[in-house]
Amino acid sequence: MAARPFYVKFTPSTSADVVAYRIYAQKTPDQLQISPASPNVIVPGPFAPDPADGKISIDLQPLFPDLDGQYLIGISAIDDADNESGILEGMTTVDFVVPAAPTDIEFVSG
Amino acid sequence: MKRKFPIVMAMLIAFLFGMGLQWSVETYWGVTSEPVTVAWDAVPNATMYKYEVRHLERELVYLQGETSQTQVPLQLSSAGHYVVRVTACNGEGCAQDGQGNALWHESTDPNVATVDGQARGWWIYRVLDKPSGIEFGEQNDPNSRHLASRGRQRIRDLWGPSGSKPGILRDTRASRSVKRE
Repeated sequence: MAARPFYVKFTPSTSADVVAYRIYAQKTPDQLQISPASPNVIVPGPFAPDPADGKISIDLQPLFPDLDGQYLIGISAIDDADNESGILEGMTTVDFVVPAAPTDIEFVSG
Repeated sequence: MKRKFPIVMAMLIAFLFGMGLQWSVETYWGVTSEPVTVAWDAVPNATMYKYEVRHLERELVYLQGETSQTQVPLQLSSAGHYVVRVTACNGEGCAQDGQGNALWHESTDPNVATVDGQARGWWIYRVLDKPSGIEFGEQNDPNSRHLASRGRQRIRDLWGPSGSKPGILRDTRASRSVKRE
């Protein structure tokens, strides 16, 4: 069974021309901040913010199926000319890795 | 696509050097959500001023308008460099040069622009406003599921070497009002 969805929510950039968001996932404490070399995925728009709070929600699980532990999650906006905004950061703990199947299955008693 | 801005900027610099202009303009940094005000001296007999804001990389007139004031607030919500130009008008028409051509004064021209009271050209550079208000949760959001499933199809093609990513713009300075003395 796949891991449950785990969402990052954020208020979108107010800039015009934003066409995508780059989502970074940096395991901590290996690194204490997001850098351009941190693992990342680009999520292209269009985006439909939640009418209730104006925020965009993105499920991290399909983007980073191997996350297991504490992570610094970063989000930046990208425009149609490939300019990138500063990075919004937040810390969270996730575990998308299913456990290994048990081994050494044995009959104990009759 | 990734090199669009550097290439355009290199062409612009080469063009300006080719025209014999000195490359020394002040850059007013800021994020796209910050408003900026541009001001100029009053011109005798002028009743109205026309202004234009050009976006250099996109090669278009981003904003234009008229005002009876000697300053105008601007909202520049796309990333990139902006140059402002202004002309003065009254009931007889707008400013002209000796040959009868429309005369505009431009912010990059040190003959008509100032920075902190000193003759110097300037332009405005805006960087993308970053997202805000990050939070995490397992709440099931129908909109999110839609996004995630769409993203999954495309993400395979978007993974690339990290070295090919553009630089991240973190360092910004507050924008300032600029007035020609």
